[in-house]
Amino acid sequence: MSQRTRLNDDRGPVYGSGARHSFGCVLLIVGSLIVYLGWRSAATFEDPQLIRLVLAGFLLLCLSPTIFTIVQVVRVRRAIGKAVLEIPWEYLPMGFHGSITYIRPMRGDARLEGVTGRMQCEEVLVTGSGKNKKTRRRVVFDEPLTPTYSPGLQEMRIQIPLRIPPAGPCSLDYSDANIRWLVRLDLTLSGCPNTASSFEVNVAPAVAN
Amino acid sequence: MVRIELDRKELRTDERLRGSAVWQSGGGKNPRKIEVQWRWRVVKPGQDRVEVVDNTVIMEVGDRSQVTVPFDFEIPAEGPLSYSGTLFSIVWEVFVNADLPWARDESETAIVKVSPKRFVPEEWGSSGDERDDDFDLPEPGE
Repeated sequence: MSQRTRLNDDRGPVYGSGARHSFGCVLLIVGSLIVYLGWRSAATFEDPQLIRLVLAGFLLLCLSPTIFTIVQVVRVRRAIGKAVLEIPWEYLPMGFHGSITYIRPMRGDARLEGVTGRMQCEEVLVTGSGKNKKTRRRVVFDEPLTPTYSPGLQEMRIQIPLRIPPAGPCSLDYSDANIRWLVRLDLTLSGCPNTASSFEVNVAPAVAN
Repeated sequence: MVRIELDRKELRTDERLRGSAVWQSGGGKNPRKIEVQWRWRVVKPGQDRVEVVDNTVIMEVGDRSQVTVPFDFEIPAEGPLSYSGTLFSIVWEVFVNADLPWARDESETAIVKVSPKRFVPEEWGSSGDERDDDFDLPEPGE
């Protein structure tokens, strides 16, 4: 019986997009700066105590997106464990047509309500150096997936039919030029916040029959 | 004058590229050496990056008016494959350079298309191991 390969490197994101986290960080930094400057000049006002109270409230407001994100991430981690992606071989061939399995333990009241996914291939090119270094990405293949699952209590097992075009391209990891294949999933959950997973899959420079 | 003769212009990985590079004197200087490189190139904005996979060098040309350099290069199983992308392309080529003393070198390039061979699972780590690292091609200079 052939063994399958299990991929452990889930790149998430666990909760929310990068834009949301960036906004939270910027708000925190700018808010902290405003509070710091206001705090220093509070003594010049009639009622410094009131000013400082308002500033403290403002700081809490600026902190709230970050705190909310941390709380949601902790909830996700507690409710569902780390994901594993099972694939037939360590490298999949161009022209692959088969099924892979997404496995994740569930705890407490967490239940999987729905899942959507995409298979994407992106080119990544790094040009320049030092201050002029730029990373450019371009998606060259993008196809929706049709994952299926059966309700389970202790574990979610999602079957994902997968197709890699015979023309590829194959994966490439060469210093400043890369080609990456990614399986991306969005999970809708009850009993815990929704989350996402993404795994990089190696595609060999060989074609299936 | 340099020309390249290839037995095939399209091959699969794990096959061998055979041919010869012919240098012919045009009445001028004789080269100090003639080098035949089997290499792939990342074609991208700015400077292309070249990775030489194998080479053959003839040092003693002497007074000959014609030199034939046969070559027999292997195409690595791990590729990469010839690729025409959006941000960059990958081109496999035979590059011949005749090093002329105190003169501009004579060179010639022949492009070869490298296609995938048939997939055999045993050759690609079908042991069922857990994988954490990506498959890396050798860094330049390795």
